[in-house]
Amino acid sequence: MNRLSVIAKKGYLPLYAFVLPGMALIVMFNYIPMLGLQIAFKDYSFRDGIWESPWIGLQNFKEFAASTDFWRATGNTFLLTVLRLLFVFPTTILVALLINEVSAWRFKRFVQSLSYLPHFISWIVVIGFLDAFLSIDGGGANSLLRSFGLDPIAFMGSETWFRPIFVLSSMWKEIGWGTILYLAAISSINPVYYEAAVMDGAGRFAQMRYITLPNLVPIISIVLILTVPSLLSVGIDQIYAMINPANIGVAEVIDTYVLRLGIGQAQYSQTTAIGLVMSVISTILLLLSNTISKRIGGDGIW
Amino acid sequence: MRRLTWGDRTFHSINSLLLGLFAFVCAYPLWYIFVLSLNEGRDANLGGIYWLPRVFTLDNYRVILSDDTIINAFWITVARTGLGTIGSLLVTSMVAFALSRKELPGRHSLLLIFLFVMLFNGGLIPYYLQLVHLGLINSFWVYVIPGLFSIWNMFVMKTSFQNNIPESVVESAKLDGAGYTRIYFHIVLPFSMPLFAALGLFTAVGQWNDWFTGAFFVNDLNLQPLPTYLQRVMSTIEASNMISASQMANANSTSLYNPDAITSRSVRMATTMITILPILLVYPFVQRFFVKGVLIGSVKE
Repeated sequence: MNRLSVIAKKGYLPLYAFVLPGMALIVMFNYIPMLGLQIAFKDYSFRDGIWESPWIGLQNFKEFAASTDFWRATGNTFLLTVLRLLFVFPTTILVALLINEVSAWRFKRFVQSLSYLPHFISWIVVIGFLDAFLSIDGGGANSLLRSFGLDPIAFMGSETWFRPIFVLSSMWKEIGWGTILYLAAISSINPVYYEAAVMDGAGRFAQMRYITLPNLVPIISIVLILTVPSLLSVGIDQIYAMINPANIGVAEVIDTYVLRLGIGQAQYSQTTAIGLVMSVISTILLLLSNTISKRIGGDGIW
Repeated sequence: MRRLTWGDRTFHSINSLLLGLFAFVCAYPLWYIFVLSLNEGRDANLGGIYWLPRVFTLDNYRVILSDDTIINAFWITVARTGLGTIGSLLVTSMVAFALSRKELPGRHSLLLIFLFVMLFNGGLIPYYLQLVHLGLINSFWVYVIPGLFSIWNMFVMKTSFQNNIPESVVESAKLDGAGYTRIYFHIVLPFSMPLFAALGLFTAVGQWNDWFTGAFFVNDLNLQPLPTYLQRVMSTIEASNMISASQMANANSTSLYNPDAITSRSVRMATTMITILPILLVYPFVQRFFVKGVLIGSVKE
């Protein structure tokens, strides 16, 4: 009682009131769903609800672990996220280095403006473009193939082409935007280093190799480490728009599998079990990468 | 200044060429969509269109603009973006302000409660079941309410309030008898407008582009936003014929449009243009806020 009156007297009450709506929202949309995770160990039915459905132990986990579709989706997830990392990450750094070398500021601005744009375009639009550009009837890519006398290719309905399209579209969307961080880091490098290097006769490449790149190592390692948790998730927007019966064998990832089985076929318990495993792994990865990032002198996520 | 060597000049030319190509690749897809949306659909199917419309028509846009579903979807998107963005900035910044006050009793425990949400989540299905339980499925509010609080933006704002709002200003306001509510509205909000602009733009783009919520949590076609409409007609092979058969029948029967002009793809391209047009229009003016936003977000305590 005493403490409460102190709080009231000091005028803290409005601050608690400020926290209240946000708190209510995370309770409703984050904490209560965490309680809902118990259905991973239950045989959930709408009729009985989350609390009344009967416990069935690890049955759901055994079921998904025995499903070949699940393992296929897991394999695809890792393959796609690793491929994406391998291609997007180094190219982003390279493009940032190249942009940094431009001395005509108008041209630099122009390139930067256009390169950030794809980040704001929805995946649905990107895939819509690909669908039109790569289509058999009249798509630009196949027109081009035809003019060289080659046979048209059904790019979007092909297992072979799915991964290249996935990687290229990821590159298109995120490289430009990704350069912002590196360009900011480059601009904070002390110009004295460059002046000294020029005195010593270092050319453009030497400066890039011996000054810019070494100075970027901290931010590069931090970005790399903080990317690790995202290896678990491809990004449902991109895949869901690209997936179709013809490419599902290579395109199905954990997220789309959960969506299809969970919301599509009402297999709530089993998909929650999958979700629980993924959540636990991603929490561990987050904690690890955050700790490592802080230890090597960077900012963590928190 | 040192004279440019031959090597430097070669490097510069090649670099400019590469980056010019890169910029072109970034922009070309949007141009391609634009061109196809202005070309007769039947003709476009013959291929060979890259730079300019071959058989120009505005009929694709006429079809869209006379279609109530798309117009309705457009307004749904506008409404959710407006409400979602303003609401989210308000709710999130209030929490951020309260948690930025180090003298607040119990601040540490509150912070932990919020922090945990960043670390662990219940996954899609329990979230979905909770939406069902709350009656948000098939409701317009599912676009707005769950997004009213953003944990990431909250931490960015909290850090920014702590670093950028001079403590002396807050203290002197307190001496003048101002409570926290007044400090928030009269000091914190005006001080933080650039930050709000940046985070608000990200939130708005996210709202504008979100098709997921509409596709999985809403069945009512009258409540679907534009990107969901696009997704429905694009993502699956069967759906490619769906671009409202009714639309096309309508178009052909009223003979207002040249039937050759309209195919499912050409209408789709025009719909895509309508979806991204607002973003393209504001983009040149707000670009600098985006860049600022990313850098604010990457600077932590």
